[in-house]
Formats: sequence, C-alpha cells, structure tokens
Amino acid sequence: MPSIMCLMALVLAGPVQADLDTIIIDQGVDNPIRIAVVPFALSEDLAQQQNPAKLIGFDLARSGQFDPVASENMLSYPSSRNEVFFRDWRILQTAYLVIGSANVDAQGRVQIRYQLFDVATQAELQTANFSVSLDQWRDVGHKIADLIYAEVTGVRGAFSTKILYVLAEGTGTAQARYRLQIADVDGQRPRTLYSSSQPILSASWSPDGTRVAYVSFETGRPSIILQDVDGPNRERLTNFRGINGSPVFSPDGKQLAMVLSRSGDPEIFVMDLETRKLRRITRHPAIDTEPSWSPDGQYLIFTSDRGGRPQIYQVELATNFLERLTFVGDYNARARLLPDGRHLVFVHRRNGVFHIAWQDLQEDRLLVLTQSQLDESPSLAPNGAMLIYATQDQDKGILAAVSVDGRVKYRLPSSAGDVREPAWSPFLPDVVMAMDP
Amino acid sequence: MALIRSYALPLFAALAFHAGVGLVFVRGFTASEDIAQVITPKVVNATLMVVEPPAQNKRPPAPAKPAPAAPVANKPSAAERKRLVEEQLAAEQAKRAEQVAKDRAEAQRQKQRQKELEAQRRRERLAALGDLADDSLQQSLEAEAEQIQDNDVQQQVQTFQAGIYDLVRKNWSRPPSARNGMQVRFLVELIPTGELLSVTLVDSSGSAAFDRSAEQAIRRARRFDVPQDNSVFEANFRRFYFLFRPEDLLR
Repeated sequence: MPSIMCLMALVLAGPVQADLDTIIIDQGVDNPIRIAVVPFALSEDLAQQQNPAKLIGFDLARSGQFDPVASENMLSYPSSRNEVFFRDWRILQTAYLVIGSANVDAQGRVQIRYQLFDVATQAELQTANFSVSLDQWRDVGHKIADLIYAEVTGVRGAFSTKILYVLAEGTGTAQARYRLQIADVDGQRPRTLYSSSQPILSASWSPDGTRVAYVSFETGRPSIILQDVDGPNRERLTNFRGINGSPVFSPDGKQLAMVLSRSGDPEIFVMDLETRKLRRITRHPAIDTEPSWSPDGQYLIFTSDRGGRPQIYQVELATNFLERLTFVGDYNARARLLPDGRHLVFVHRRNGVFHIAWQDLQEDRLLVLTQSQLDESPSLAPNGAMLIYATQDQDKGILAAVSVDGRVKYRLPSSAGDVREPAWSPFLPDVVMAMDP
Repeated sequence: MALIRSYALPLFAALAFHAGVGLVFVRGFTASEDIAQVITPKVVNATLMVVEPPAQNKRPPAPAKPAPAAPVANKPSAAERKRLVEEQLAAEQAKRAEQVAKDRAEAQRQKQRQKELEAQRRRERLAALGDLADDSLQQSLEAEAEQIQDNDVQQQVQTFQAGIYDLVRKNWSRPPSARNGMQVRFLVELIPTGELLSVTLVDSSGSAAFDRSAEQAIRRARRFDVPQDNSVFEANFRRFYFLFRPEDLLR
C-alpha cells in the first residue's frame, strides 16, 4: 500500500514539476487593510459603556495600516461564529473580520471575548478571553487592537503604550502653569505627574516604563529629575551651573546620557545611575547636544555644529570613534534611531521650514515625512512603526503622529493650552492578560 | 360435452380469430421488410434508363412510315402532297435536332478536353515547382509557419499573464513588516473560465503576515482573464505559480 501511495505521489508531482509558468509580483499598492470590527454584543449591565469595537477600530485606523468598515455599512452584526456569513463580508471587500461579546459574571468581573477571521479563507486566526475589572475596559480594547495588529501586520502593536508630554497653560503671564502629563497613546485618560510654575523640558522614559527623567527649572536653573511613574520617588540628579539637559536612558536602563555645560560649552556626558559617576563623551568647543542611544547601546547619536551647521554625528562609546551621519541640508537635529538600528528620524530644515525626516543609513536615502511647519521633538513608537512629534496649529502647540513611511498622519486631540515635547513610552507590562478560551 | 358441442361454433370462431391474430402478428414483421425491399430497386431502375435512348428509339419508326406511302406517289393528291411536305419538314426537323445534339455533344467533349489540358498543365507546373523547391527550403518554410504560430501563442500567453500580474499587483497591500527581498510562492489552479480553484502555499517567506497578504491578493481577484483557446489555457493557465517578491518598498 505505501508503494502505491508513493507511485500516486510521483504521478501527482510529475505535472507540478514540469516547468509551470511563474508570474512574479514585484509591486503592490499598500492600501490600508479593510477590516470589519463588528460592535460587540454587550449584556444589559454594560450597555452604557463605549463599545470595544469602536475603540479597536479607532486604534487600528490610527495606525494608518487599517481601513475599518463603518458599522452602519455592515450587512449583519454577528457576535459568534455560527452567525457569520462570510459572503456578507466579501461583498464589503473586507479582508478581516472581528467579532466579540462581553458580559458581567457573578463575581462582578467583566468577561470579554473576541475572534479574528480571515475572510478569504474563512479561517479563525485568533481568539482570546479576558476577565477584568470594569476600570480596565479601555485597556482590554487596546490590548485586543494590539493582538489583531500583530497577527495581521507581523509587527507588535503599540496601542497599549502611553505618551508623556508637557502641557503649558497661560505662558507669558504670571499664572503660567506647566504640567508633565501621562496619557494613553490615543490621548485619553491623561493624568499629571508633576506640575510647576517653571518650564518643564525633555521628558523621557526608562526602558522598563517605570521611571521618567526630565528637566525642571524649580531651583531657578535647570536640573535633571528622576521620578517614578507610579511611585513616590522623585530625585534631583544634577544641578550644575549652566545647562543640565536632554536626559536619555540607555537601552539597558543603567545609564543616563545628558548634556552639561559645566566645563563652559555644552558637551555630552553619560551618568552611571548606580554609582552616579559621570563620564564625558565629547570634547569640542562647538555645541554638542540632544544625545540618543543606538538600540544596542554601543553608540550615541547627537547633534553638533562643529562643522559650522547643526548636523547628526555618531560616537562609538568604547573607542570614542566619531562619524558624521547627515550631509543633506543645512540643519539636521534631534535624531533618533529606529529599533532596526539602520534608519534615523530627525528634524530637518528644508527651504527654511522644519520637517520630520527619515534617512536610511545604509543607502543614504532621505525622505521628508511631514509637510507642516515647526515640527519638532520626534519620538518613536516602540514598534518603530509610528512617530509622534510636536507641531503648530493656529499658533497653538499640538501633538501629531506620522507613520515612518510618511503615509499616515493624525493629530491627537488636545485640551486647552500648548502641548509640547512628546515622548512615546516603551512597551509596558500587560495590565490585562489574555486567557485561552 | 354437450356444453362444448352447443358452443362448437363460437369455440371454432374464437380459435380461428386467435390463429388469425397470431398470423397477422408473425406476418406483420416480414411484410414491412418486403415493402422496403420492393421500393429500392424501383428507384434505381428509374434513374438509369431515361435520358439517351428515346431519341434513338423514336427515329427508326419515322423512316418506316414513308415506305407504305411510296406506292401512292403516282397520283399525288393535295392531301398527299401536304403529307409529303409535312414528312419532309419532320425529317428536316429531326435532322436539325440531330445536328443540335451533335453540336452540343461536340461542345461538351471540347470542354472536357480543355479541362483535361488545364489539369495537365497545372500538374506540369506543380511538378516544375516541386523540382525547383528543394527539400530544405520547404522544411524551413513549414518551420517558419509553425514559429509564427508559436510566437502568436507566446504573445497571447504574455498578454494574459500581464493582465493577471496587474490585477494581483493592484490587490496586494503589504504589511509594514514586509521588506524588499522577501518572497513567497503559491501554486494556483484555475478552471477554464478563469475562476480560482485552489491556492496552495509552496514556499513560505517565514512571515505569516506577509504570506497572508499575498494569498489575499490572489483570492481577492477571484476570476482571472484567461485565453479562450483551450490548448493554450491547459498549457499555461491550468496550473501556475505566483512568486511575490517586492522590490518597490522603502525598506
């Protein structure tokens, strides 16, 4: 019997190996992926909550890689597998379908479940259950969006992350107020970490997301502050004469790069957070500022005008070997490396206007991502797919985000006041855990 | 017995009737065969004998008539003269008819001769050409004709492949994890209407998201334009590969 099977396999394989034509597809269009997130079936005691489908659809749309189907255009509203008619979704040109439901159990915990389907093959790609308290309602929505995003795009989702930014109110008056805010990445649920009548600058995250570093003028001159995100600890790290600025955590969280001008001109220093010892990295009479780390922690990227104009340089920490990275344009500053270590985003001036630009370091290509004016402080999402930056809208500072390929831009809703200096958090520990159904 | 005897006549009638029915039943089949056999020879006889013989058969009786009229020539009456004239006229008419028939036959013969001549000339000319055209030339001519046809088929195949390429390209949205140089290969099977029968992953790129984006690009098309010519379809479009290998991405 096995020999017969082998023979059959050979016979069947024969015509396949006879050279069949191959059509090579070397281009695509990269339209956003059509996805239908059907409003979840909610039990009566959850009726006044925002439907998770809305949150998930909004998250996915904001990534720019998805084009969610409006719920009023849907032909049916299934909430379980046996209510799904894939024909309905093919008609709507939908590539993926998400259905789900939620109810409150006897212990008062919210049970949420969802399923993700590939409409073309009708296969279930993903399913998960969550058991959470009601105040984690939004966290579950963001978590589901993360899981769907990762499954469909092959890139980890960053919807459960946070952003840190400075909110300035009444600037130029006696009642000026500066707040260091932390919010969901969609701008919702903001809370204040620190508030002062003096400016706050250069907020940045520790790699584990538990601490932030920023510059405060509370002593009358700038000092670098280290503070817990959810704890009581707040500590002044430096308060030297002159500039104390641009604190950035190393990828392992053990060191902090910063700019100090205690020796006369701004230079890059690295502080060991355990021993508090400082190590000087740059020695040049020109300005060296805005340091950031390479993803492997071996290099520092910084801005320097040692060539006459601000440009991006890179220094290898072990050898102090220095290299200039940008050559296009007369102003390039505030650079950040993407997680792949190969691509750089920075502020680039073209025709007198500041934009956010992107450069491939291996192929020396430069791409301008934003069209607005006075774009500054780009901060990358931890998955490297989006970056957030500060820009101006009718003389008011707002936050905007753009995908690293420049295709999608959106603005974050802002309350009263100027919003500045955004910092996108690293991936944070899960607040809600998915359970296998 | 008495009962049988009193019904002797009806019994006999019934037996006779059944025998008759049986006879009709058996005869019925043979009778129709007979009719069929009779009809065919009639048709054959009718066609063969008609055209030529009447002219020859009618002429001998015509000269037979003047023989009995000769003895009466001594006293020719008006009626007799009239008859003679009529006979002469009839003879002339017959002669003329004969002449016409002869002419017609002659014309036909000539026509046939001409036809034969022409055919012979054509045969000679062809033979001459055949001598001139040597074997290799003829072969190359045939090969050229074949190649022209092959090129036509090849061109047709390429046109349809370009259409399929375009349709799939327009449907392909790459995920952000896609990079230039990644590649995935699918084997597809179509039915002669161009509708998709199956899509099979042959070589994966290693990324499920990338593979799925490619498979969806194929499946979204659902129907491809394929050649009407079945042999071309079978040779090129029944089963073929799709190789997805982006070259236009930023990264």
